Amino acid sequence: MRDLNLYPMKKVEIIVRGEDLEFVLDLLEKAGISGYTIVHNLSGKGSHGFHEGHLLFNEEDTLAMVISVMPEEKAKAVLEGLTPFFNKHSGVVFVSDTMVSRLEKFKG
Amino acid sequence: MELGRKLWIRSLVKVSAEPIPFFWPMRTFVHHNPLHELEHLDFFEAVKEGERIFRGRGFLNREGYQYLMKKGYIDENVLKRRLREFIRERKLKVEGLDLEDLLYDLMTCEPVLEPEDRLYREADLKEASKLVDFFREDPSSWAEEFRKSIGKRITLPEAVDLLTGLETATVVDELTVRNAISFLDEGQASVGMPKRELGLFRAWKELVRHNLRFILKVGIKFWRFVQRFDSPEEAIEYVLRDLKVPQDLWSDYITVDLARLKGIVGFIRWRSQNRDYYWQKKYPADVVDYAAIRLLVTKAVLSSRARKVCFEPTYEGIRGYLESATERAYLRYEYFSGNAPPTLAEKLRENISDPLPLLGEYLEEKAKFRAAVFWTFLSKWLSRRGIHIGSVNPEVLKELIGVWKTFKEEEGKIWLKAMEDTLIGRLVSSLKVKTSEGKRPEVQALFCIDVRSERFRRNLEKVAGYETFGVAGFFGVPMAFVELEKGHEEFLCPVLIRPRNVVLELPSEGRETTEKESLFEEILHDLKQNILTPYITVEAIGFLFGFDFIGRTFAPSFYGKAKDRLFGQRVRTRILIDKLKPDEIERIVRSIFKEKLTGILASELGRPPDPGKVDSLAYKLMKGEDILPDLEDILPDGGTARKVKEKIQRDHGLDRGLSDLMKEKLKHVGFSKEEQALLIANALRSIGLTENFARVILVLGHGSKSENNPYESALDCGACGGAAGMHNARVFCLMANDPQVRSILKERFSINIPEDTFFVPGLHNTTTDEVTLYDFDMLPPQLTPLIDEIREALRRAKVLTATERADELPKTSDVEDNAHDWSQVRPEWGLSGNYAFIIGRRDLTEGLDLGGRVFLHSYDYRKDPKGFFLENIFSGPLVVGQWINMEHYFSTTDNEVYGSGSKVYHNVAGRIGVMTGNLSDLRTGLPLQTVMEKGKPHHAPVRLIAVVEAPLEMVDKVVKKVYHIRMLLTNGWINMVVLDPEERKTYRYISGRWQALEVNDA
Repeated sequence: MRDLNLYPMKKVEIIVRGEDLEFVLDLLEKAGISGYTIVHNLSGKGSHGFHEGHLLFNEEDTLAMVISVMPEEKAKAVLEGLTPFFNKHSGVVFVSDTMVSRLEKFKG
Repeated sequence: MELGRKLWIRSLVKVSAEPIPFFWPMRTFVHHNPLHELEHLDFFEAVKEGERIFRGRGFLNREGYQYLMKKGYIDENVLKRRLREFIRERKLKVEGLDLEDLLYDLMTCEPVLEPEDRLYREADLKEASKLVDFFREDPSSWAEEFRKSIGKRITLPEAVDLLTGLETATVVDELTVRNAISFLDEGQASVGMPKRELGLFRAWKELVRHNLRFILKVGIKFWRFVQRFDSPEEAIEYVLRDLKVPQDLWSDYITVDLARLKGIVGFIRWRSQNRDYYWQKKYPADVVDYAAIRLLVTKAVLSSRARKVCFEPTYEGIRGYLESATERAYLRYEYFSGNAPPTLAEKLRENISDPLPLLGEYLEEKAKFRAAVFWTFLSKWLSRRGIHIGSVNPEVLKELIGVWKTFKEEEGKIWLKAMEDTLIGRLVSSLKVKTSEGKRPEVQALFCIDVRSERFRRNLEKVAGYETFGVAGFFGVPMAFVELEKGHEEFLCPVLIRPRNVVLELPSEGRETTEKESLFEEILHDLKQNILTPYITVEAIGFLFGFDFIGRTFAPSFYGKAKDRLFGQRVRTRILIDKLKPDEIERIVRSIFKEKLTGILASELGRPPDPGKVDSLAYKLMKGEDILPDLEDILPDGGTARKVKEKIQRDHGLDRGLSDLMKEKLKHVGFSKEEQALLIANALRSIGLTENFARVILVLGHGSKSENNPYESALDCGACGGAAGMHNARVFCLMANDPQVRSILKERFSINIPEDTFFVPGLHNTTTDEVTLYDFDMLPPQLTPLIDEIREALRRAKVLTATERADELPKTSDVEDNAHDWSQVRPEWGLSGNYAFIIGRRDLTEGLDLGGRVFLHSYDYRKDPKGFFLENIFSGPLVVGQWINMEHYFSTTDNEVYGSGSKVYHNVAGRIGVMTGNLSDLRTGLPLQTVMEKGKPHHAPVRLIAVVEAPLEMVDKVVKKVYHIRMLLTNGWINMVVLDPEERKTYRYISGRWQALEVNDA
């Protein structure tokens, strides 16, 4: 591990309804963020009660999470962009510190 | 512009555009609730929001309900009960008057009695003066209301027009429609808009430079102004600030502005949400681009008209004008909005440049006029119940007017509830909860849940005694289908699902074999001809062999021409539903690489290269190894080799990445045997068919056939975006007949399908009621007599069903003629009339004539102890049923706004939808002819009545689990009735809880 250089980054995790996934991806793309991971069909409990995935027939109603790693200033911009969205929709966003080794992959 | 701010604007616009419903391109018509995005609100609140945003009505007018009452949809006693409830809830009371009696009379008297008819008796003028003070208007409270409406109900150009009589709003609409349609055109225009690949906003920026119409309408400087904005977000922020719209109003303003052309906006929204859509990929557009264009045009139009307006045409300018010249503004508004009574309007017109001296007289005269109108109305109304108006105290009359106003606001609600109660009562009392265990039937048939199946099923049961089932028309097999000769996937399943498996259709060339090995060899042998190749290569490297598959797919001579093959002469095809093995995938990709390399090298060498060397080259490319040594070996000198290497890897993109991408795509082809068994098991268990299998089980998809009908796909399977369920039926049968699948079904799911049972696919054409069977040549010969019998039974059921339907079609005629008649505006009634969705055993409805208006989903709660399948039915088919129901509902209550108006005036626009006349928004919803007949509702608009046969406890549990249905139910978008077969009781969900229901007393 001695040779490994680690650089600080922000990890942004956004959980929204399946039908709002496009919205989030578009925002990330317009922010110039080059990569993300999507986790589909989440279950969990929030202010609207319990959500459970129904993959067989209806994907729009399930929850999805987008995970992306970016520099701090990008994270701030993304959060600003999400404000009007979360004023109207349920969902959550978490931002946390993280480290990456291959910096060029996350600069966007 | 800072990135954060840019994203903020982007997000704001997208969120503000959400109330505008998606619009699917017409050839894949999807029934959709026009207020879908307001479903988080209570139904009645959403209707009001719809009035605000779209100016659409959510209820029929009184005449419409009266007509339905006469047709038996509304029971008198039920209506009275709902009226009584309204009076009680609103605590309405007027001393000395029987309100229930008066209001019931008003609701049912013909012709309809309303005060708005602007007629009054001269004689009443004097008497009416007793009411004058009640009707006097106050310009300053008007001014306050008017200001508040800007951005909430009307746009700035509309406000300007209402105060000045200009037509700026129309000019803004016209300019946006023309440009948007040119951009969105999918091959109808002979000359396409240039530079569309830049995206909507940037292409438009280029366009305005040369657009004469812009120069004429808004002046020559517009182009230079527009060029200042690099991004749509910047333009949006600039214009909203420049028009001085307060920032907390931006979101509402954008919503109202976008709602003006809700068809185009709905289409752009749909498109940008569907990244895989061919035209979206080619010419990207999103609602942010559109909003920017719309606002820039608004700004330009208002600026160019500024000289003609006596105030600054901005939000603040109007606010200032309303404050400083309130009375003047009021009088001008009265005239230009058409609000002034006819006699006064004339006077206003003559003095419109300086109307102020008229103010006192105008206010007085208008109050008198309105008092007289109401006096006449009240006196007619009261006298019908034997009351002379002169004997009633004027204060009581004023109270009565107050009651009438409250009543008018809620009238639609009272009618609607009464109609729903009537229909629920009638339906529930005709259903029979019972269980019949029979012997093995000779034939079973699976139909789509579509309301049109009901008739055919009933008649087929009658003529042949077959057992029938209702199931979602994609038979639980979601798939991306790549049809013969097409290079792209078509999703054959409800739009709620994104299929993960791809199914390919291949020509069978008369060979009988279905063996997979040989099928694979065929694919490999014939890479140039079959569809697999473009399917995996188009995106990555373009058309490999010069076939323009996309051209064939996206430029059909007319809508759905390809579908002809389903009905007419059909090429024999086979379907690849099994997964390819890893080595097969490897070989296919390598073949494609070889093919491509051979072409490149041949043009360098002037002769075909050595196949062995090409093979090794392909191998190395796919592995990501250096190919330079190989190339140096093949080509004469090192310099050329280096150049060709560049060409291969950079220009043609042949590398490890591409190989991986193609392999990834090929992995999606087909279903594993386990997946197949799971799909079949789920479909069968969800309809309760897990034992007692017949010898032949028909699996019938449905589609519709009509000529010269851009709405043809709306008549196809309502859930599947107008895709006929034929392919799904074929795939379902292939899977269900597979011995390997059957053995998994037996082992894992305890579903034992006898060896002598065969599944046979077919297509039910709902316009002619003809059923065509497919693939029966794969059946054992001993079944031939039975197949002949089945065909005869289907024919007899067709005759009965067609006769039944012909009675309802206006041209009495033959249904067959209707389908082919070019001038026929109504080839079939389709889904019109739908009102209920029954989930339960066929025993419930056996023998019952439901008039082709009820969705029937087979379900046996005894086979679903955990409620899993009920959950699925709720979250899929029931949701789709609600869409279809709501689309019909709103298309009927307001055909101009929520429907698409008369077909007679429709012109196909840009191959994506229709316009009314020469230029209009894209029309959304259903045409007049689908839901109305001679100005009267043919479709009775009620909220879907879901009837579930299962224990209440279980239904309640499932409702709580399925978020979407829970929301629809608690917000009043659907009705739900539970027939509890265990307790033998009926429950209805009313205001948040389950209430036991006496049958006959909905």
